[in-house]
Amino acid sequence: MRLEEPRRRRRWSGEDWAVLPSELLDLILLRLPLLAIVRARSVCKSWNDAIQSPGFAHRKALLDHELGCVPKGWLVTLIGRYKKKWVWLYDPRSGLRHQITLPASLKGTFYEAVVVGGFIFIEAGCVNCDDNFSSRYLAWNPITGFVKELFVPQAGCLAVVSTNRSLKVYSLKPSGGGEESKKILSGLAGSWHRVAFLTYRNQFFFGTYSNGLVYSTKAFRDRTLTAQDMITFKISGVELPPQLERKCRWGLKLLNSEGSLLLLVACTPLRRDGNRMQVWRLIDGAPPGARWEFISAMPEEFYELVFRGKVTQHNWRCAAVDHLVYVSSSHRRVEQQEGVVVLDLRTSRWSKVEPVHHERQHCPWSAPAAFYPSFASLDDSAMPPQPKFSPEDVGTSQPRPAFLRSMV
Amino acid sequence: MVKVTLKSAEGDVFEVDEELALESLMVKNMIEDVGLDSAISLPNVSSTILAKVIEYIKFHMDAQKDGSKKTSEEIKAFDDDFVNVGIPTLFEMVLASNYLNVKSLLSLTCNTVANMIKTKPPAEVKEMFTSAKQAKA
Repeated sequence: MRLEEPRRRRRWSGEDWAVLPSELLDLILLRLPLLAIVRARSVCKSWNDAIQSPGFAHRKALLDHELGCVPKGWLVTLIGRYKKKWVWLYDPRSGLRHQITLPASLKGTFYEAVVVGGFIFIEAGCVNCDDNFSSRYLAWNPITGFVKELFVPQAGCLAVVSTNRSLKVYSLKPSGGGEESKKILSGLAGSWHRVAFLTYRNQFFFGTYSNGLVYSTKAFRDRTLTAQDMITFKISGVELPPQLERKCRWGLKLLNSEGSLLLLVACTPLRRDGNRMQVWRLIDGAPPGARWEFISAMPEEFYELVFRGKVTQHNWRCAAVDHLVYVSSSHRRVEQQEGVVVLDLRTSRWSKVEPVHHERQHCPWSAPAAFYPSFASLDDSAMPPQPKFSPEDVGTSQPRPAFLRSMV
Repeated sequence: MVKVTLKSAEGDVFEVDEELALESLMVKNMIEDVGLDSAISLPNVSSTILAKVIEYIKFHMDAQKDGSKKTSEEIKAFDDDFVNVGIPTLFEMVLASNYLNVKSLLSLTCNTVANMIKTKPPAEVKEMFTSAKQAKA
């Protein structure tokens, strides 16, 4: 009888593959997508050291800018169960998907993720029945491992606007007119890019930014959108396409794709009248006077894949990257087989994409003493002066805000 | 046309046009220092890799010339085919392009390695690198 040899664990270090000089390792690692860099940290110690070395995050940001591959639209595709919270993050540009366990402090009923200036901001929003809305943010730099939490208490309307370089949270109060609108968390210079989330009166409304206006889906029953001018704080309404009627109770989302506003509408399959998921584009400039143009409807076979028979406000997500629009399911129970469907706006073709990778990522949430800045005392007088903004600024490079600079 | 003589690690001699050799910044510096009379020895580059690098530079120089009929698809197809080699060869090409200082080839090979790594879990990446080492030994 032969005894099995004990399994020897050899420690492998990147230096074994001896002749790869550190500057070459750097070149290769810099070309990985953000989520893959996080994973490469656990390959070996020398790789981890290379990624954690000072300046790596900065060089990565520079190279991304040079190659034009700054990640914009991200999807949170799946939310874990009540007590054990995790989210799937899907990066449409690289096709990578990661499961991220959230720290215990980040509790919420809905999640969104945006990438701003190399940081992944994960939002956990909470709504209770008496019109109170609060939101926690986790700012996470996957390269340096930096973690910071932000807490935003607010009753009423909340809009989160993110650009390539800054994150702003706005309070919008459509009922009170323009003057009552005020910022509650701000101070970062930058051009407006996207409103990640907007809520009003205990209901969830999704909004986006396009050409100097913030759009939010205000009242389904009136069949109008609200558009707010971020310079003059003027609010105006946009009629929804008349064909939609009352179809779109919960399935209404807005995206900004290459500067134009997209409206994604989904309805439950109870109505058997034709297209269940449609994409519209706002043309002819700013409201009033803007018109809707029908782009495409999702084919039958993809509908079931994404919505699984029911449309609620949380069970589907969308993101726009260049001319591609990604739609994914966000079910709690279906872990592995959820679908991501992509629409090419240039050819109006729908297709299914397979996420490249499934892996659980246990992040070292090394948040120092939890950081909760108090926003309750903030009013407009306490705000730093707002930089002049024109729609042409969208996409131009801005100096890195001090807020982010101090976090690296 | 002036010719440059390059000598690989094995001692094989490659004769190439000066214009082509100047694409490598390292060779360019050597020529400036020692002139064209003697062969330029490249002790860190093996014959097979040097031949591949020369093939790459030649193709791209032809493609950049006026009157070249190569489309961007053809160039991309060539690049894809060019880096479609075993991992040990690919790593040697990364090293050689770094040593010879050919920017476009370095960027191409690094991108290829990054694309191979990005979809693999860490354990497979380790395996990929160790097997490359064993194959080399």
